[in-house]
Amino acid sequence: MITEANLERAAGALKSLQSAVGQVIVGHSDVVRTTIIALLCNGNVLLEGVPGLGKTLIVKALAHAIGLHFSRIQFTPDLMPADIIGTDIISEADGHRKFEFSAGPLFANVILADEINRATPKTQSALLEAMEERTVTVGTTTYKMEEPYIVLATQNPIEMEGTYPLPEAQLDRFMFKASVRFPDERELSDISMRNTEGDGIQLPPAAITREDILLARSVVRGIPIADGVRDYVSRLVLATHADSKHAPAQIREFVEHGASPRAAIAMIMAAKANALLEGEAHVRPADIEKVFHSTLVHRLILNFRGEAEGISISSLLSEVWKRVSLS
Amino acid sequence: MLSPSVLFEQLERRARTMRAVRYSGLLSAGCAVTLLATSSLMLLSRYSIPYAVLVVVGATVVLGLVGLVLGLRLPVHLPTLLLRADVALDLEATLSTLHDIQSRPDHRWLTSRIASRLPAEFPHPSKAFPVRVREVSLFVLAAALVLGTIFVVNIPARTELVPETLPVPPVQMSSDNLSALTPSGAGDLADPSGQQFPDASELSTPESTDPVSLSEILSSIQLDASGESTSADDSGTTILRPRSHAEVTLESILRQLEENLREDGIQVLSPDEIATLQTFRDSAPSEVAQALEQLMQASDNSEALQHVSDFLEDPQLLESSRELTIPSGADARADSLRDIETSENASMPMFEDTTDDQGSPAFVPTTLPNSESEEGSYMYYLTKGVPIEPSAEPREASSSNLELSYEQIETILSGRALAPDVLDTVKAYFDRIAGGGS
Repeated sequence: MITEANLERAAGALKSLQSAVGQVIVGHSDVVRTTIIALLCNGNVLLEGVPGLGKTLIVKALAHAIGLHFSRIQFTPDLMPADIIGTDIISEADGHRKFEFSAGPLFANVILADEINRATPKTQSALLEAMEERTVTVGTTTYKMEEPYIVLATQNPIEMEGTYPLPEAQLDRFMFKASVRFPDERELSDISMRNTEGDGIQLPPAAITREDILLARSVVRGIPIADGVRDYVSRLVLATHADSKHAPAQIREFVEHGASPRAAIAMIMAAKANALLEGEAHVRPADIEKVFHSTLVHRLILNFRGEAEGISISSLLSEVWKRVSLS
Repeated sequence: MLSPSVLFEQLERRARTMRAVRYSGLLSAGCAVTLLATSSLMLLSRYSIPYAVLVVVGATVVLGLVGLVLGLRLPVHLPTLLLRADVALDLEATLSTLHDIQSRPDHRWLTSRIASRLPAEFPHPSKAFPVRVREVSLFVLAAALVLGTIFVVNIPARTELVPETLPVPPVQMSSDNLSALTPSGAGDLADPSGQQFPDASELSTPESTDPVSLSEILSSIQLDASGESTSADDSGTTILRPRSHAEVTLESILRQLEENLREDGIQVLSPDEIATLQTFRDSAPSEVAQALEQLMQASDNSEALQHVSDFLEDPQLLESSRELTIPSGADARADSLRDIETSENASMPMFEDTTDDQGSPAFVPTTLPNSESEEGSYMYYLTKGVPIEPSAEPREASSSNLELSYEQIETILSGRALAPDVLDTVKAYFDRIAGGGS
């Protein structure tokens, strides 16, 4: 239940978190905001960008700012599921041998799954259960992840040869897909200065506690959203389907599959979290607009004609936004 | 600042009003378009607005009122209205959220915090639901058409008679020019003097600045039975005079009767003929009524024929019959009589042939009246044989029994530089006597 005190405390904590992460990361404010929102909404984020843009630094800074356990997994083609989940190993104690589960790197609070598309589908699937259920099953035992839990996966948009593109089912489990763009001139100068002078990049100290995050999560769920705005989100998601009456012509022409109901849930939760970050007490259409693209861009599947013509999903989403009105 | 509930009430009231206008316009739009089309056709075709249009006006008003009531009274979905108001006023879903949390006890404490997002001075509800052109255009159209039609109904019919006084420019044409203007088929129009119309020099042309009536111009055209022109000062003799509609009708009926009686086998008047004569008798002056009574009481063919001939040869009787009002159906009866006779005696001329020896129609010798009748103007162009003589062409090829066609007359009249309205009146006359076509 949301109270005024909780609302104020959560808003204050998040402001501190944003400030702490922002001190380390140059630019990428939208990516930072997206990862914070995902943390508040119990979601996961897929970060897409060429190497060297600071994706790992963003995740590390976030993990340090929330004072939680951080784990980095570098996915390679020879990585096995047990390498990330953990496995039972034989241990000997008091003259007795027994199997003891040795937790893998998945058992942390903030997981950086680097270049996830380089791992085999089998290993990728091992990540699925942890991402969605927050549990891992080894043998007959199910192990629960510690909250808060967030998986931040990265993938390289170039060098797709020899990789295993994430299947649609797995992509749908990511709340956001955020594109990490190349910094502009000013940002690049700042980055180079920070990394070449003084002590280099220093990760931020913890700005909030685990309890603050859990409180903020409960406050986010309590942020009210008008029924008309909720219906608006439904129309937006439906408009991504070619057979929907809300769909614009381009969707009908180039989209094979639209977004699932998971997208609507993600959009509403993300809008609530964004409202809280903005200091608002209710969901506004501007909050929907902020999270619209990142919640849907990875959930649309183009048909053959769309792929052949190189249609951009971002352009299709722009048409959806223009076509569907709030009232 | 007003409380949310008061704001909601104001917005709802405004929304209902605009909906009432929209419904009223929509419901009456169909009638309004019908009204527009009907009124336009009526005005363009110069007919007066019929009673049926008034019924459409009534239906439009009723439907409009029904729309107003429905728009005001039907329930509204307040959350949708408030969301529309949020969008119109750019309030970021504040109003709709305020309304939603009223029903959530755990969120009610957020009311003041969310309400603080509203402007201190809330805009007028009309800004949330402004008057949109597409909503009120139908309503305004229907209202304008209803009022316009009610006003137009009072406008008299556009078919008016040509006023008596019309300025006519002086006619300055030589006889050579006149003859050059006549069509080739108008040779029959030539009078025995070898001249189709009197010389322009014989006409007393008015001053160009003085308005001159048709009667004044034609009163200077005086021809005797022989076709020779006479001075305009020789009044009381062979000059044209107007005929009344009833006189022509009675005369034509009597002439038809004369023909009928002269035929073998017809001894007495038929019941239809008697009924027609009775209609005239009832409204005729005493001398005309007496003459008609004598005719109806004729015991045999020769007596009836004598009475008819006496009537037709008596100018006084014909003059008196001009005071008659037009009997209802008399024209139809006259036409029916003519039609019957035509079908029975197709080869016989319907009325007395008044053409001269050369077969050319002549002007009727009569006296010029002191006052003009209402229909006197164009009647001056009437020649005795013009409307009724059989056409020179074979009957099958001829669409009318006019010896003189309007096109022939038009050529002559245009040479006289008469006003267009005068020409229209003459054409209307020919259309009338030709039964719709000349």
